[in-house]
Amino acid sequence: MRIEERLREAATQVPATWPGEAHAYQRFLRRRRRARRLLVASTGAAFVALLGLALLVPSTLGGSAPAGGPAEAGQQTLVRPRQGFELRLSPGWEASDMGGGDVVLSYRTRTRQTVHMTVRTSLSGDKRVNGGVDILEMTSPVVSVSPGYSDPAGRRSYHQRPDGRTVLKAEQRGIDWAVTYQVAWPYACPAGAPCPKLTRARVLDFEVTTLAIDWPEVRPLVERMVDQARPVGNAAGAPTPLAGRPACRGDDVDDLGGGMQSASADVVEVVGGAVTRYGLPCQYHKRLALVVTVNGRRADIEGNGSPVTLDAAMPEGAPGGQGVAAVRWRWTNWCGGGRARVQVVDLDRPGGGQDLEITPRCTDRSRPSVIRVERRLSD
Amino acid sequence: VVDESEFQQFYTSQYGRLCWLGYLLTGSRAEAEELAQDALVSTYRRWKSRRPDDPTTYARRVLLNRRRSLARRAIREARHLAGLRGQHQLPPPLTEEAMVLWDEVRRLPRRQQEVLVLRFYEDRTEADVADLLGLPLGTVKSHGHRGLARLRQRLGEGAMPVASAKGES
Repeated sequence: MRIEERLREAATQVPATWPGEAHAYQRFLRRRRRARRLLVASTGAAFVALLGLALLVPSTLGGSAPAGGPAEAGQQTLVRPRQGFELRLSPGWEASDMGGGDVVLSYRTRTRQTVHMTVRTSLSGDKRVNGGVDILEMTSPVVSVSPGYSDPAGRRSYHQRPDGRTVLKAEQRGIDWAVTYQVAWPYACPAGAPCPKLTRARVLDFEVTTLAIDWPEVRPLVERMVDQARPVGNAAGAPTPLAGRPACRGDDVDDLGGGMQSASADVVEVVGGAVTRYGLPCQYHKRLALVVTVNGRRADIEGNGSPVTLDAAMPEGAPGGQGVAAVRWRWTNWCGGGRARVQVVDLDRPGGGQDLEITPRCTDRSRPSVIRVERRLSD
Repeated sequence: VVDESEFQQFYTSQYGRLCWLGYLLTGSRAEAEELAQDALVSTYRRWKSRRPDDPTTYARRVLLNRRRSLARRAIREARHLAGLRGQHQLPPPLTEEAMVLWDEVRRLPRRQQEVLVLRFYEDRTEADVADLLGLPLGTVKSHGHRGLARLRQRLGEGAMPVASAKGES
């Protein structure tokens, strides 16, 4: 059964009701009342806090505390060379690593709530912080899909850090407030290496979720960190040299997954490889093959299953690759019978294989069917 | 002024569907209920000022946005939630085949997962999905295509014996 049919079948098996639904409306009414109380309380608290800030605290956005000043006693400093930042934590904040390169900071508020903030690099879709890159259009001439990128929801505003970097602030207000800051954090390519536009789209991303009532307390502490994070290693403007480049793993890159680039009646084009996901430096190595089978057996096609090796330094990608390490196969003239299955196979990873269901038209029975590497971006 | 009986009727008709939508996206019963209730509270608040033209779509949009902003926090709080509300973490009843399939959908990157759940569980068109997610239609198609391709790979539809592929060069 095709995967689409299996999904439709699985959807019909989802019951119409939800367990415990009988009491849900009562819970909803309690929640509604709580939401109203929080809204009233937070409005009042925000007013008092704003008044206090106006009287007592100089703005943290105005550049009164330049990046790189001496650390205060008890303050923790985090250094993440792969993501290219050094962060001095505001008083009261603690850090814990959650794997995958994310740093999670936590803070206990006066209302005894724990506020969490994630700090990481990502690729931003906002042109005011990503160097003007149209990220949906930019990936590559051969890859029409977009990489995973961060496009925060909510009302947006912008300011400049003391060092001139643009900061995007996106606020989503509800019962909780979700606030995202993105600081322009372009990746610095090694001297002499090609540096595609995509590397400019890297940002340092701070994502904090808090109760509205706690935001006036949390905000200056967060914004101080946003404004004082320092570039290191591979970040543009860093005083230290570029850090090393380990092998790509897990989420470092976004698998292009056998995407069909384009298909006419006569030609099937398939793309395999990867594009950087977070702008992290790593070395990408993959042996891929486009394999066509009929009834489980390799079809008689020239170039069927021939391996292609991709080696690329990410996030730069292969030369001319716009952050992409990719290969495009071009398959023509299929005159065979039976149902052909087209798969991009990772030769070093048993069990892999994307399954596409399309064949090119038979144009000349006297000539062989051919799979050719049409454009190889990494040699 | 909200017609409470009309809203309650809307609530009753949507709560279960929204919980399932949240569950298929997060895999957590507690989070699914949280998202559904949150979406309905927001819909009610919106309804108070002006009834949304299409409240079912409005509630789904809120749910998807909330889920997006809560996703990372949810990961961090998973242990905490498991400790506090262990019994609520148990999945609601689904057949084994459906569980396996939806689990695989949940392992996809967020956008691909959202597109597939909205297309197949909510039975929405690609244009509807694009509108709900605020994405260009082409991007939705691309995410859908890639999501399906990954599912085929993982679930083995027409899986090819890799040994034969490795043997030839």
